[in-house]
This record gives sequence, structure tokens and C-alpha cells, in this order.
Amino acid sequence: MASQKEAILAVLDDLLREEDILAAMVARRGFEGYIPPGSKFKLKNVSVWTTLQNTMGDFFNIISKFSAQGLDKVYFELGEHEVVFFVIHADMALVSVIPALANKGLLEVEMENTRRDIKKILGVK
Amino acid sequence: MFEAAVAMSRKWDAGEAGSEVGKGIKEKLKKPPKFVLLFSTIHYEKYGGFQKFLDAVNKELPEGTPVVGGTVAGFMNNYGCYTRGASAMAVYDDEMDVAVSVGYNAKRSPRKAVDTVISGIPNRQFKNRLVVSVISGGMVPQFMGISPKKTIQSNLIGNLLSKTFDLSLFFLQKGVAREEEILSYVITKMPNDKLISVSTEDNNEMIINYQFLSKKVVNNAIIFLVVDSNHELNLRTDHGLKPTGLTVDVTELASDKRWMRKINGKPAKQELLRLLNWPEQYVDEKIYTRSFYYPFASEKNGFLTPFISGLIWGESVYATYQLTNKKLRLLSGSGSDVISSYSKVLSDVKNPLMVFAAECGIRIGNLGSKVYLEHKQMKETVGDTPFLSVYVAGEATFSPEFGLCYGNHTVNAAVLYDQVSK
Repeated sequence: MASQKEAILAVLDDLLREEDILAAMVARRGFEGYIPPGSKFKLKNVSVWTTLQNTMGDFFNIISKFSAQGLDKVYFELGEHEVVFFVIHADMALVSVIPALANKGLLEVEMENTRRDIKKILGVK
Repeated sequence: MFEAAVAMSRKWDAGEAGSEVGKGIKEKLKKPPKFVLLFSTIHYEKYGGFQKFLDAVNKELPEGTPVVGGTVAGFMNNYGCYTRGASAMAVYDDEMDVAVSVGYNAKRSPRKAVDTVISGIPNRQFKNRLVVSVISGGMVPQFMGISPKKTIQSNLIGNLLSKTFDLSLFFLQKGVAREEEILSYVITKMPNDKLISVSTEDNNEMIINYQFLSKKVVNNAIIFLVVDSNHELNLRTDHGLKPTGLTVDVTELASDKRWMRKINGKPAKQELLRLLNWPEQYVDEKIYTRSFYYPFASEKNGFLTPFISGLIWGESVYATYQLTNKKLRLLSGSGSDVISSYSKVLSDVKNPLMVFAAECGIRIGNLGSKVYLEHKQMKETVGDTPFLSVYVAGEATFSPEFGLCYGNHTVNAAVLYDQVSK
């Protein structure tokens, strides 16, 4: 039986096959996240990803504060890229980087499916 | 005995996906299917191709099973909502006749294609007939191999290209799908039948689309799946948009009845921007999405047919449907209006045998993950009853009761009931 980590990485691997998912991970507050190997990423601007990883704790400060109000997603644009947080729970989020001009609505459906799959693996409602 | 089943695959490889869908049907239906509605996203074009996909589906089905469908922007079924993968609805009934008919070159000669389709349909043997029409959806036109943008700022180039638009449609069959012409003609030929229509597409980019006709992958066709049975059948269409109170007169219309040159006596683009209070900067490649929430509408038989400003070239604004009425209204809508139209279409659905629905592809593009709100409504309405809803580039219903209802932005449902008509 695949471990929880392996199962989550497999789900992320599937999401990363989408043309416009340039990078993706499951970030956890205070712990190492579930991060697929860099070779799976299509993101050319590595500094976006590095900065994102380094500031993840700050994001979770915000996420946890709004968690009670039902914070579900966070978007922010970084020039040609957009970073999307799909909150799994107050201390965990699916984080994806997509092109700013991506077909976002259609991609969002698949990001939502990924979040649902991860919740199922983790037993989160 | 009636049976319906929904199968699906999320596999990336076309062959594996087709096989999984075919096996799913085989496992879930006790009897060989009378017909299979099959839809997939455009992904398989790059992961093995649609012929491989279709071959794999057919390999699992009894020889001669009618399979009809094509490519869509996404789909929703009993399991969830998806913008990648494939899904099928298969049906068996002891008392059901099924026929498939096809006409080609739908964009070049729609009436001829309709005549061919109709000529291939046998006489009705049971009380009710449902026609599932699969039309090749619109494609961005091409000029000398180049697809122009959705907006062209230059008046000179924009107006010039708009005047040669019909050439792309005639010679390359790239342009609008002409559903309103096709379906208006169809219903004159079969006024007592009921019809739900879907137009195939890709991922809302409108570059390419494919249709499935049993073992063949085809393009630019009209395919009819004709299902005769004694089951009750309800069809509904809605869009949830509301009139803004703004009305416009199209004062100059090109001979194709689609390019609006002047509105209210003024150049169409400038007048549209003025009416909507939009800045010039809004005329960009997102115009299709923007105008989705502020479409024009023409009224026919009490139904407001919404259509969006699909292209703005120079001062000319393109209507996605031919204008039969030069007095138009401007509508508006929000995400919650989209959701509420879904509940309206499902409002009188009670204990159905199956539901097949078709929605505008832009709806899922704009709703994004909120499309699961529609899924929740459908699940609450039909429970475990098999349902398949596809997000397409043109959708419509016809019933003698409500007439022909089409338009951008719509949600349509065909609901089959157990009650046998006496």
C-alpha cells in the first residue's frame, strides 16, 4: 500500500501534467511540505518558487487568521505568473503556479479535484 | 427493463482512457447498450489521438453499438466535475429503437447537411422521440493559415478582414457553427419531436473540435442520435441572465446578419463601450469572457436568446448568432445567476431515469471550481440516478411545447422518466 506521502505526490504528479500547471506542492505550516521533484516543474523563473517556499510561514499566518471566516482560495499575481493557494485546512494548502494568462477557470476545476483527492488521502472533511 | 450507466476515465493516454470507459460501461450495464453518448476533453489529441481513444472504447462494446459524441470543454457526472478526461452515458431499454444519422460540411452548407441527416432517420416506432444532435462547434476563422485575434484595433484591417469572414467559413469551414440556421431548419422537418443539441469544442479556445460517430472520428458534421421510446421526456433551457433595461437598435448589419457595423446609428464598438461604460482597454483577448456577463439578446417567442460579442474587429462587433431581430437588449448576469439558472432547469425534475444536460463551456470557464455548486444541486435533485452534463460551444433544446431555445450562456437538460405514455 502506498504511503500517504507517495499517494499525495502521485496526485500532484497528475496535476503537474496539465500544460499550465508550472509548479505545484502541498505546503504545510511548520513542517516540510509534499514537494514533487523539480524535474517535474515547468517554471523557468525559479526565484518565484524559492521566494514562495521561503515565505510560506508568513502565508500561513494570514491563512490561519482568515480560516474561521471560511478562507478557501488565495490568488496573487507576480508579473507573468499567478500563484494559487487552495486551502486544505488552516495549516495546509495546495499551492500551484500558473501563467497569469492561463485558462484559469478550467484549470481551477482540476486544482479543486486535486484538493479533494488530497483531502481524501488525509481523511480531511 | 431500463438501464443507464455512467462510466469515465481520468487516464492521460487515449487508448487507456478509451479502454477504461468501455470497460466501465460493460461492467455497469447488465445488457448490451442500445446507445452510448461519449464525450472527452481535447487532451487526447496530444496523448495518442481520438481514433485510438474511440477504437479502445469500441473494442469493449458489442459490434455495431451506436456511439455518438465528441470533444467538450469539460463534463460533470455522478462522480464529479472535470476538465480533463472522458465520460460516457450508456443506455439499455427493452422497448427502444435507436438510429444514427450524419450530414457533413455543416459550416459550408448547413441546409444540405440537415437534409442528409434527416434522410437517414427512420420513421418513429414508439410514442416519443428524443434527438441528440451533435454539431461541430465554431472555430476561430483563418486567413491564409493565420488565425486572427479576437480583437483587432485597426479599423482598416478589422473591417477588411470582417468582410472576408465568409470565405474562411466556406472554404476552410472555420468560423461560426451556424447552429441557429441548422436547428431552425431541423425543426421545420421534425416539428413533433424533442431535441437537445450540443456543439463540440476544445478548451474554450475554439481552435479545433472532433465528433465521434461510432467507430469514426469526424469533423464539421451534424450527427443525430435518434432515440424512440415510450418514456416521458422533459426538456428545459435557461440562462439566468436579466435585462439591464438597455435596448439597442442595430442600424447597420452586414449581409451575413452577424457583423454589426452600427448600433444606434453609431459605430458598433464605440456605442457598445459607451452603453456598458467600458474603457477602450477592455477590448482585448478577454473580450469573449468579459462580454459573457453582458451579452446582447434578441427576443423570440418570449425567450431571450443571449449572444455574446465574440469578436471585435475595427469598429465592427460580431454576433455569434444571425440576427433575425434588429432590436436587441443588453443583459447582465453574475456567477450566482448562473447557478440559479441551473436550479431552475432542475426545478421540476422528480425521480428521473437519467438526465443528459448541456451547458455553455464559458460557464465552467467562469465558474471554475464553483462548478461544484452545480454538481451539488444535481446530486440533491437526482441522487444516484445516472447523469452526464457536458460543457460545450453551443447548446439548445427544442420541444413542441417550448419551441427552439438556444443561445450562449445557456443550460439545457433532457430528462427521461419512467412513466410510459399511454
